[in-house]
Amino acid sequence: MKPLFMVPLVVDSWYLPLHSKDSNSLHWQSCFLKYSLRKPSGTELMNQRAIIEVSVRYKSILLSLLLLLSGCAAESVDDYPDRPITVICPWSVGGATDRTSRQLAVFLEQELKVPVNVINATGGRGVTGHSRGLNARPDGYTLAIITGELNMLHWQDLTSLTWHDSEPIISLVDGAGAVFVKKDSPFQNAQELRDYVKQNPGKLTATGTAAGGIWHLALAGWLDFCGLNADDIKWIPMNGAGPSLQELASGGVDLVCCSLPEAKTLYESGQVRCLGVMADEPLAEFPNVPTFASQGMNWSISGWNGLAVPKGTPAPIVNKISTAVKKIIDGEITVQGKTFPETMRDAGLSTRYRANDEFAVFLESNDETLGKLLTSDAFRQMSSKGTGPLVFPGLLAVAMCVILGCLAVQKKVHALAPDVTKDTVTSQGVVNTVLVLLGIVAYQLFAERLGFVLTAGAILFLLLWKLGTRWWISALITLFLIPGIYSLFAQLLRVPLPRGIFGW
Amino acid sequence: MESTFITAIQNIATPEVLLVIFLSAVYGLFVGSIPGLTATMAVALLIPLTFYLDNLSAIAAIVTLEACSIFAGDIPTTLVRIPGTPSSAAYTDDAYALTRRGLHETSLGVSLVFSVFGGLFGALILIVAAPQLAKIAFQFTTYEYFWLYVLGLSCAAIVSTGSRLKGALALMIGLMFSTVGLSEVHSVPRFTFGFDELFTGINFIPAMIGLFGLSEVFRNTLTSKTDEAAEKLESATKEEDDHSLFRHLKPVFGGVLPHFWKRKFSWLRSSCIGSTIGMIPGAGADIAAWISYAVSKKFSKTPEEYGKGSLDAVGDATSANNSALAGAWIPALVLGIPGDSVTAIVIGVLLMKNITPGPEIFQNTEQLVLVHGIYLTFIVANLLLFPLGFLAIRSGSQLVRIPRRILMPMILMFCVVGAYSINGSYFDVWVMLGMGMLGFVLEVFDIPLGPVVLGIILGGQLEQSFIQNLTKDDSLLSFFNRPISAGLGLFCIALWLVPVIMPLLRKKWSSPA
Repeated sequence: MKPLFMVPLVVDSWYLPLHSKDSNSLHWQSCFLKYSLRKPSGTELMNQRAIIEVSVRYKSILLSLLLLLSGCAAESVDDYPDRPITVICPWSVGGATDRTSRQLAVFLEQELKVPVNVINATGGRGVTGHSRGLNARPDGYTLAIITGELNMLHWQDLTSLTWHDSEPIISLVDGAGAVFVKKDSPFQNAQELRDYVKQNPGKLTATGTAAGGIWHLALAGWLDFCGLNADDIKWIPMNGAGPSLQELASGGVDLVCCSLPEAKTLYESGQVRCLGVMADEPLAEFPNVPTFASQGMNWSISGWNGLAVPKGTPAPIVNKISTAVKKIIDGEITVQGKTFPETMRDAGLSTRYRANDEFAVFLESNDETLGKLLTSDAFRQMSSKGTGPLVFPGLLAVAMCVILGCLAVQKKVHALAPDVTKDTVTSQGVVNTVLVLLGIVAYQLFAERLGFVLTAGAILFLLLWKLGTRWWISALITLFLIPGIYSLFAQLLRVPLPRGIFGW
Repeated sequence: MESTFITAIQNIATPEVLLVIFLSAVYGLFVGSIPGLTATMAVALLIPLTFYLDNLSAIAAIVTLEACSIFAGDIPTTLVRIPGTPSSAAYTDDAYALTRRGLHETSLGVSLVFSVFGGLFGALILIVAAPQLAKIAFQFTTYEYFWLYVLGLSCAAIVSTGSRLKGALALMIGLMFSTVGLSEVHSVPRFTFGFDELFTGINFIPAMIGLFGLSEVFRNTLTSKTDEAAEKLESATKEEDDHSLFRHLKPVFGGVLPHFWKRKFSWLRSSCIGSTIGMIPGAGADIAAWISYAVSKKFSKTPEEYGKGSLDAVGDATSANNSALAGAWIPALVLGIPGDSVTAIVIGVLLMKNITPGPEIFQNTEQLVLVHGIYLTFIVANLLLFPLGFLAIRSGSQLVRIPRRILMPMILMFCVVGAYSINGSYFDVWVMLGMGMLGFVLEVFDIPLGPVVLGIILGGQLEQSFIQNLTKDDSLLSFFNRPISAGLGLFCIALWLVPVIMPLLRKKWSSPA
């Protein structure tokens, strides 16, 4: 157990958890080091003393808090894992990547004997999730699911993150691109499609993902491969395979390019037809679907996902995880009588397991391939077309001006003036509000270091007390509420609340 | 058909399945009533468990969880003005105004009764018309979606209390916030000011918690009136010297069932709107609540009460958002296209359980039993919501008796934890703080907050469908080139023109003949 008096030392590293990247790489020890290298100024010392005094004065409270909560931060490689593990999935719930993450989590939980939670950090076309996963503290408690976008985003200048920021563990899903048309479409195979596009460039519309996403790349790359312009088929950007297929079925677009399992339902019910799959060999689950190669076009591309940990994770931990994952993919672990490969097959996902070094080699070559495509002239030219990104905000701004103008014309401008007569603002009220604001800011500054329980407890107690509740009532409420919230959120609902110096 | 139905009943009526339903109802009420934790999150947290459950129990758990947590979202909405789920945002002002008058139990009673009946109606639609209705929902292309979003947003502006222009202004503020971050259509970061976190854009859950919850905390701490208000509440909720068996039931249900009977037609209308909108993939319970709120106000005899504490508004909007839940299962089951975020997870679960949703699910006898099981669970879950919801209301109602000076710091704690927990990110807490201050300022200027939230929720989708339409065909006329989109579009335009033209017409008519 770390001594309590170190708590205030963190105070002077004035550190904003806003930049989560740093917060994860810095450990509390490093703050201590930073502190000891620098002579604190007088006020800083006073602050610390004040906080130490507080902690002495309420030592009894803190001690009882300690008794209430078990859990220690003795983080060593040998004990790994001794607390819940978080898996960051960069895509939203329900999709293929999410399904993979959740299944893997269930099996990892079985093997590692600690809860494994999945967080969907979506948005920013995968930038958010990938950076959260790979910039996390490299302690083995945050695992990252990485997908093909990791090898695309940096070529498109959307992030500086590359696969080199990761410690690859294993690749899981490998879904080849496939082209779908509606059941009443005239196209029966990929050659007919190619011939039509050759004669009628720009007539057809296609979708499947955002502009510049993996399936857009697949289709544009294929057109380029056939000697056509990459934008001879108009790409309508869509948010994922689900809405794209809905758009195809309702007649909004002519083609959809996505992986076969994603369209499994509609394909099997005959609503859509598959013109071909962009793989070298027919897929095991869908042997009747012809490949592009069998139609004379040697074009293959696939979207993949896999498990990785942030760069810098200690080797023994990486080994522990990859051993566990190895057992899982070898089918040695069963949940409900089913092994991991079996559940993946049932979900219709095509898997391709590449362990550690093999995965790294694959990542290298995949990065190169995608980079070549993305930086090629064919692809560069088409990205600048269409309605500009500021059109919509511009329209909104105009509308806002019109509304404000109307308000002015209606002579309701006075109605925009603050109505202070409703409730009287007191000076005590202003002080209280400032305290509330400071409380939130203090939480932001200290929660990551001190952990949720200490920070929130201190803030809640002080606020209750300052807002006029007697100190022992405030202490009592704090004592019950904070551990209550903690066990509710962190233990029952598995929300990863900040764990500071004591592990809670 | 009948035999599978009987098998389904037999399957449901086992102690194990009933226990699962009961536990997930309790869990759903619990999670739904905590701001920041949504129904979707509750269902996602349940996924590892579904591995250990058999097919029927797994689906039953999800259905129950969903129905209960959407109702439970009304509890913090009413009591502390933090919408528990986004679909409560439409009637937050109404419900909270009722609480300030000490009528929180009546308001929650109305929420409960209308939710239950709305949910049952949705289940009925699901049972009767699933395959047929899914076909209509499947006709929606980006053009129709565009008009649907416009319709939802227009409703938010139209129904807002006070000046419609201020509602529209609030909407524009919300839409502006939605443009922050990486634009999905262009892949261009906008208004991020160099913050990596803004790349994702502004998450609407912390925004909602800040706008409604934190601004309320500020309002309370800034004025010294805090305890007076609490005392007023206390006197209003004082229980009479009533020792009958029904003394606990009375504050919640007293007058609610007659009220329900009186408003049976508006309930029917709202539920129809709810299940219709729920069916359309991607338009969930939140849009359903807004649109039915707008329609309800239009037909109301007392539209001036809306936004200032109208029980009719709460009732109509809650029945719509609950009936939308079952509606969302229609495209999910029939076509394998999720109707909302919960059904997106359901499809994943079904696939894991080796059931492929699609038309054949209705032909395969074994799977038909499961489908009927889903129908039945919807009914059982909604019936179970009656007693459990009542208990939740009674225990939650104790909250308003807590003096404000104690309640406010506690609410603040929940705001912070709620904002943090949705993504486990500190940035969301900053967003919540900023939105709290914005919400306070907007309230001072009498600008409604609901449209801001809806703007943030729908802004991205609106822009996407707008740009998609322009990409397909850059003439604005193409927005009207399909029958459904033309109908919806003309309806929206009429909706905007009415408030402009009506005063002119009225002037003309009222001028001396």
